Amino acid sequence: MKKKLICLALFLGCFFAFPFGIHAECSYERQAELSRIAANVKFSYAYELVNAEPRFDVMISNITDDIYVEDGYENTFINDVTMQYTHGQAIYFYVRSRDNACRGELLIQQHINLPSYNLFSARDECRQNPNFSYCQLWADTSSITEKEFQSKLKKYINHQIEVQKAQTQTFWDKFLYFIEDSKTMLIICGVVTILLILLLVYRWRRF
Amino acid sequence: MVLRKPYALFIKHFRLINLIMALLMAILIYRTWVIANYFSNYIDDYVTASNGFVVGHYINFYSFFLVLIVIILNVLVLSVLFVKNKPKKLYIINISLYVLLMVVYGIDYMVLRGVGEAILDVRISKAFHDITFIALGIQMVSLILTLIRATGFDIKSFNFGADLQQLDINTKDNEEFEVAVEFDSNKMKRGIRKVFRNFTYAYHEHKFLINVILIVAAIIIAFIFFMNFGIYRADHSEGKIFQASSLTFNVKNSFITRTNQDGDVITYLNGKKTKNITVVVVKLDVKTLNKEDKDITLNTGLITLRIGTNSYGQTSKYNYGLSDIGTPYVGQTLSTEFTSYILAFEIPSKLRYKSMKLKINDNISYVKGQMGAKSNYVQLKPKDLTEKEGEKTEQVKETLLFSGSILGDSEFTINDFSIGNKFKNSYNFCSKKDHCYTSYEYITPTATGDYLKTLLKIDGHFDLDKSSNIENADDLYYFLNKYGEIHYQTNGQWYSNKINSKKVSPITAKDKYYYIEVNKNVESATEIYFTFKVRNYSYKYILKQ
Repeated sequence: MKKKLICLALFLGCFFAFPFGIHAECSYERQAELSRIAANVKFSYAYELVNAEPRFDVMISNITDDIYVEDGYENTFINDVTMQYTHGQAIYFYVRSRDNACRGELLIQQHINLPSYNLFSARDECRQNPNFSYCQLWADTSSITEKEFQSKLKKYINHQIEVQKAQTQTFWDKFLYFIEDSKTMLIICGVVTILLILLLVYRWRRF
Repeated sequence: MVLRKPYALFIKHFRLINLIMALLMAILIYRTWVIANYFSNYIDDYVTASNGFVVGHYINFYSFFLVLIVIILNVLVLSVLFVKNKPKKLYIINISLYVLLMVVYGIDYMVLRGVGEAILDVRISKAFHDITFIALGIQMVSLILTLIRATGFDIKSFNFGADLQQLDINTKDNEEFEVAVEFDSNKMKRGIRKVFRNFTYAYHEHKFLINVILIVAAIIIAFIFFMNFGIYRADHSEGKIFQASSLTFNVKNSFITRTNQDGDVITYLNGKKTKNITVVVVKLDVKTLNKEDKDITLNTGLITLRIGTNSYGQTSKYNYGLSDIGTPYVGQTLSTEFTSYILAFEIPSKLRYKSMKLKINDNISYVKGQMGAKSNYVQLKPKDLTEKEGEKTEQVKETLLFSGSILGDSEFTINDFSIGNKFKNSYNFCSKKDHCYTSYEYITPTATGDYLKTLLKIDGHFDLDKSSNIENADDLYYFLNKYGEIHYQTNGQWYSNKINSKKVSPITAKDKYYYIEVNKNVESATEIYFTFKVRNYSYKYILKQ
């Protein structure tokens, strides 16, 4: 009798001990639900100009109690948040499960590439030459030195001047064009004029 | 009848007659040079040379008339020289030359009439250019010799002075002589009355037969008139539906313009922008009656624009520049439902206000040179898009109407608006059945383009008149990007930007608003308005003042 009671106690003890020592598995249905919740997390960004440089606000919305979000810079978010990042930054967001059964499991990964703001674009030279390639508002010019910028700008301006010259016709251009266009008529008029002059000279000499 | 011999008059004005001939010859030399030059241009670039070509500018009635006058003057002078037994070779050569010139002009005219309808063979063009140029050279020589006569050089070889002195020509050449003109008018009247009397007798004798013949002739003539004006030729007006070549047409309206939608001139002549060419744009609805055949297309070769006696074929040169007016026809397969297309015709600008008709031939009965085609003429009343119209202004909560412009009866209304660099929309999200919660989505401008952006959130609508048939124009973004400009005032200064907005809209939290990307400076603007430029019409829509 005593042996039976001891066996029963051990059996019951094992039966109830497991839940405390061992975690339950993350079920397929729960995983699917968590994936849906993770897919509903929205990442958007807006920008403001602060001290002549854009500041990007990244808004993360729809974070629930079932999930949390990490970025690649050791920040963890458990609620909707607006974070500031620098232009040109590439940010990876990892949406993970907060459910005990699936804790830490990566549900979805999102990636945002914030556009690079071209610091040259605010200069007067760029306001005067907006079509210059190094004057585009959104462009990565971090590797362009001041010397290179000035050199390319000078070439660009010279090229524009040449183009302008080529398009403008001087008086002599127009005169040559007129000659080219009417050369047959001019030849005929020239011959007739010469003959008339010769005739007049002949008559003048005779008299 | 008494007449006077004209020889003394000719002798007295010999130089003047030669001078007049020389002047006419000079004009004809210029006309010949123009024709030769055209052939030369045609050989170089037949496409440009054909555009806007009007044969009347090169050869017309006056060309032939001047040649005839020159020939007559030469004949008159020649007659004097024959009588006086003077050197006459030059005038015989002149007469021969100008008769040949008339032939050359005639052949050139027949060839040039075909320009625009078919491409001339380059060998033919070269041959006509050479022939015309040779004629030009010979005309030059003739002109010089005639000028010499006119100026008096070598005139002494004619010895008219000696004739006058020695032979006293003035008396003989100037004398009067009688011309007997005998005409018996009574005999003529008797003759006419006799013919009429005999005819009356014959009519009474064969009354029945003659009446039958006359009635049959009258019926035939009436039938011919009826067929030519009622059947073979049909006249329509804009907006009337008719059939031709197993297709149904409805010519809706027509326009004349020289520019694209942005106001840039699109007509070129010899590689340069020109105002001497105008484009007539005809907008028509067309459908096929044939339900079985799926590959029916419109034969644009049967459609021409007629202005007086001039005929112009359709051109596809301006398709890109006219896309805001409608869809250019470029061989699309026709359906059994009406589809609207535009056809463009290039004409000289001086004809733009003349009466013009669109001629559509029915190719069922058309056999060239035989029966004559069945022709449908549509009288066009083109709207002049080159004439600027006044500006219309509306403001928020009012409706801007585009009637009169190419947008037809389209309308644009803004009920309300707000400006911001982000907007937050909410929506209901369910992760599973019975487990839903409110979620949020942000709408923000893109970081693209050449200025920092913000969003103009509009509660409004744009209703396109479907009959205008402008592709994609029923989309508000398309409409604003194509026609719109935003103007705003900040710190006392006015600025304007062409609207160039991406289609910004919520992905999940759909709403009824439109989000238009505009310059960030609009956020702090004290006054804001839109302007729309629709060809020759300008519109203003005030948002804030």
